[in-house]
Amino acid sequence: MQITNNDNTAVLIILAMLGVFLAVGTFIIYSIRNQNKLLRQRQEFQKAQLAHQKELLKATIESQENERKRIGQDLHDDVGTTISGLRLLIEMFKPAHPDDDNLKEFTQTSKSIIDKIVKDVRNISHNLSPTTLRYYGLPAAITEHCTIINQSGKLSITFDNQAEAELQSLHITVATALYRVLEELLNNTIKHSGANRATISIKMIANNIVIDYNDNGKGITISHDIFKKGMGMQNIESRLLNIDAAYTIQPYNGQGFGIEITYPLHLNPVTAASNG
Amino acid sequence: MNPQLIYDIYAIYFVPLCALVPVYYGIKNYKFLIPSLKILLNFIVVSSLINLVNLIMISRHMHTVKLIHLYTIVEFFFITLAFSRIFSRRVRPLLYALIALFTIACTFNTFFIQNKIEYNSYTRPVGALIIVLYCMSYIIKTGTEERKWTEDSFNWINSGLLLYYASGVVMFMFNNYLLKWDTWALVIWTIIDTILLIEYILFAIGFYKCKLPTTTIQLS
Repeated sequence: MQITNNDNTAVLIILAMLGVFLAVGTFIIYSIRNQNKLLRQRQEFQKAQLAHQKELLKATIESQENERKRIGQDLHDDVGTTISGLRLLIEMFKPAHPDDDNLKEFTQTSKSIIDKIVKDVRNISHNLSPTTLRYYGLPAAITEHCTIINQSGKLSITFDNQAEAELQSLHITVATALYRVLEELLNNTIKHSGANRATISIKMIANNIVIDYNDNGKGITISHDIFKKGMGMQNIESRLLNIDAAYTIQPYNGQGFGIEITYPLHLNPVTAASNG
Repeated sequence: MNPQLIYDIYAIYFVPLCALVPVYYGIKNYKFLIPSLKILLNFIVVSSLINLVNLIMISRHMHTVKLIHLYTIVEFFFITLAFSRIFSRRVRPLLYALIALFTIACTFNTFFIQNKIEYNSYTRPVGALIIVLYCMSYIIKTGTEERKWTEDSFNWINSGLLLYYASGVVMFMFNNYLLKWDTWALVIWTIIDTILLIEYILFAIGFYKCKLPTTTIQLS
């Protein structure tokens, strides 16, 4: 039997070419999908890691706030009351010789010291847990804090609030974070800037609460990287990160420090809950 | 319409002119091109010039088969040089040695083995297979990169090379069977021209993607 081969070489070439083309095309598409899948997995992992870190940060800040509140209340209720009692006791003390000058002076000095302790305890208690914030809202708390500083003569603060209703509507977590950030900024101004004036301006821009903070101090004379690594700034950053607020430090132009904080109102837990 | 005429318009004018698209984007984004892409841009320009010479020779009824022998050396030289800039520095001497060896093999083949009016059906498939090997190595090495495939401009160019040379290997092997011009030869040449067109499009996308610097990771 004779073996014959009638294959058309050209057809075989065409089939081979198209076959290889298809195989290579499939391989390329497969590798694209594979690489994109890897990338997506990595991004999801990073997202989960970030969310976890944020949860940890939130828990830390919350426990810190609770602890501050507890210590503040203890100081106010226990230490404050006891010291007030001590002052009353001294006042009610009936000495054998009421006209003794030494005794009068001692009584007066003791009462002055007690008054100072009461004032200090109240201030510490207020700083640890600002009751005004809880009972009267963020604008009142900021106003009160500014008034205290203005009265101390350390700094003259102008507070311009054009978002009263929005600030009142903030959830306590957000309000506390913003309050703490402003407190930290004022603290930095007093401690490091040598400024005598500061302004806090709050307004609404496209459903965002925008807080502008400026002082007339020496500004950031160190590099931004070193500045951002500072304890105070890290504290500000972590508090803002926790509530998903953004901030921009104004570029240094020889004098003064300025920061703009933006908080999207739709992220406010109260608003978000009513929207959802 | 005459199929031969359609083929002539397609293969002689349209496809070669399409090479201008990647050349345009390559020149436009030249300052952002990594060394390997600059080499490949030069390759397209040189291969287009060789193609022009080929067309001139055809118009004067001269045999152009020997030009393919020269083109094989040129394309292997440029593509290997481009991959030598992509792969680790350690393999660079090996690739240079490969260029030298391949050039010697092609020259020997042209003068002593396939020295009649015939295609270099021994050396060109070997060259194409080596190029396929480069492309596959690149895909395997970058396959685990955690970044978007489309962001790497070399991915597009690598795909173009892989598609063209892998699909072309069989044709390069049996080129001498296609010396006789008939309908089947016309179909095969149309297919390879279309694959070349796809290669140009992928090259153009690759060069277009080079608007931002450092779009390709060097493999170390």
